[in-house]
Parts: sequence; C-alpha cells; structure tokens
Amino acid sequence: MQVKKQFKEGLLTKNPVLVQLLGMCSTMAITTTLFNGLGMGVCVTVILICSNICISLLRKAIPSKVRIAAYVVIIAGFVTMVDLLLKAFLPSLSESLGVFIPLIVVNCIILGRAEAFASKNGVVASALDGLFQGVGYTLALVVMCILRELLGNGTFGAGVISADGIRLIPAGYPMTAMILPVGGFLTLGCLIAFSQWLTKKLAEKEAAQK
Amino acid sequence: MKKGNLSYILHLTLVLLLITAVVAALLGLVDSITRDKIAAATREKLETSMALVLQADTYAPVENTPAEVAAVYEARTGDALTGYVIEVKPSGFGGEIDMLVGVDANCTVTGVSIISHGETSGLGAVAAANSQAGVSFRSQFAGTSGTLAVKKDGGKIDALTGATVTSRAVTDGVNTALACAGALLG
Repeated sequence: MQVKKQFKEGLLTKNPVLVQLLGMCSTMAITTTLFNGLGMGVCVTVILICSNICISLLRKAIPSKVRIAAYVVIIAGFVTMVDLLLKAFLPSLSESLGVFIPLIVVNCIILGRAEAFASKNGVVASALDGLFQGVGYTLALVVMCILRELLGNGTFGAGVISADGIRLIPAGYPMTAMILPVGGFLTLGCLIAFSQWLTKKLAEKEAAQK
Repeated sequence: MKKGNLSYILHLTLVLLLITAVVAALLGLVDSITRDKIAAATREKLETSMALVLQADTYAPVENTPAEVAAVYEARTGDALTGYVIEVKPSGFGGEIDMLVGVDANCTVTGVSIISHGETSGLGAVAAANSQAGVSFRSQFAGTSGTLAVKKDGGKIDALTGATVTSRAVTDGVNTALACAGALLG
C-alpha cells in the first residue's frame, strides 16, 4: 500500500517538476528534444536512487546542524564519480549524456528528496522514493520535450528515432519561440494546470467511491 | 555547560571531516582508476575527428603556434605534407566553441568538426549535430578559401536558422584557421 502511495506521489500528486517545482533550471534548459529529456531523466533517476540510499544509511550518524553540508558533499561526490566512470568505461554514452551530468549537482531535486524523505525513512523506502520521484521527473520532462520539439521544431524524436526525427510540421512553420525559454514557461504552465485538474478529478472520484 | 558545548562542536566538525575525507578518498581512488582511460578516450576522439576533417596517415603537433589558435597538427600521408588540422576556439553564444578545421596544402578547407560547445540546444547546437541541417551547415566550408562571411554580412555561408551568432563564430573560427595555415604554408 505504501509503495502504491509513493508511486502515485512521485508521478502525480507530489511530482517533482509539476507540484514541488524543483529543478526548474534544468527543466527549462534541456526540454527541447526528446533525446535530452530522456537522457537527463535517466541520469537524475540513477543518481537520485544512489544518493537516497546513501543518505538514508547515514541518517542517524549525521548531526542535523551540518546535514545540508554533508548531503551536498555526498551528492557532489556521487555525481563526479559517476561522471568519471562513464567517461572511462562508456565513452559513447558519456558523450551523449555528458552535458547533463554536471547539471545534476545543481539540481535541487536530489537535495530536496534527501532532506524531505531519505533523512527520515529507511533504506528500501528511500530507494523506492528515488525511483518514483525520478520516474515522475522523467515523465514530466518527456511530455514537455515532445510538446516543445513538435511546436518549436516541427519534429518528433530527433536523436532518438533518427538523427533528424520524424518531421510532422513542414520546415518554416514551427514557432522557434517554443524551444526558447519563453516556450518552456508556457509549456510548463499549461502542464501544471493540466496536472492540477487531473489530481482534482482523481480526488473527486476517490471521494465518490467512499 | 561550556564543556558540553565544546564537545558538541567537536562532534559536528569530526563527523563532517570524516564524511568529506571518505568522499575525497573515494574520488581519488576513482580518479586514479579512470585517469588513463579518459586520456586515451579523449585522444582517440581527437584522432577520429582529425581524420574526419583531413584524411592523412600521421598527425604531429606543431610547436610555437600563434596565440589565436589552440593547437596545430601537421598531417602527413607517407612523407608528403597533406595539410594542417587546426584547433580553434571562437566565442559563440554560450562560451567557446572548440572546433577542428582541416586545411590542405593549397590552403583550402577540407572539413570542419565541432568537438565541444555550449550553444543553445535546438538552435546553435544544430551546428555540431549529426542531423541533416548540421551536416549541410558544416559541409558548406569544405572547398572554401580566403576570408569567409555569413550571407547576412555579405558572404556566402548560409547561417543556421535562429543561430546567427553561432554561425558567425564558426565562420570566424574557419577564417582564423585559414589565416594560420596561410602563414604556415608561406
């Protein structure tokens, strides 16, 4: 039951992007093509699970007054190690995800979940929290990417399906503004409104069943 | 009371010191394992990119290069000089664009390859992408010589849509490389 609740929270009711509004900087900057969204989402999910596990294990040893400093050191250490290992052993993956990895250190989702969840809960629950929050983050990014890529560039899946993706709107017609930051804010606003509407609908349905 | 306070502060310091020390030690360990492999991968990537802009057997770094270029490699096929691969770092929209320009012995551009950049995703970043737009943008430079400019500035280079600054920067980079190769070839 707890797992199901965590799952729902990560995906919708406490979605890191749409409800907690964490990590806005990376969300605005990279949601221009599907490839970017997937890459950043996967990176964040992996790091989030690792840092949640690590911080949950150490939660009793870290005094509360220095916890933020300790979390930052642990997270930055993790990200740097993952970055180095990827560069050494999976250079091709590192090349395609390389630009996102340093961005993860400054992504406040990781610190936010360490503070709000992993520092108060057990290892298994924290690992699951990392997974579901990561999936929720990825999902929100992917939806934004698809919308912005389609409206701003007129294509779908550039870099994922093929180098150019599938062109759905002829060149010259798409609105370039949609892949600029202004388009990011417009898309995010609409998406937040939609998720709020969906949350409300689901809550009403639940209340009616009771 | 005072003594309790002191031991509390010491406790905080020690815990933080311990965590930092462990993380630093782990980072050192990972760095020592990966350093050589990363250097090898970087070199390999550079070599692949060099072969892409100018086909030759060997590439040897040239000493005492002018300050405007980052590095110059002398490309040879057998004993004959094929040309130069020149690394330039013009300023784009989001910082330096690290790129390689191949120039043959007739001082004509043979190819352009972008190694790393910080251009806007979806606009300036297209210059480095392997998409149709990116490839056709870069291939315009092959076969050119002299001083180049984008169409907006009265030249012949087609700028990328919505990325005039990036297109100008890449064109500047090619100009710098051509000037450097011209000086080397005398």
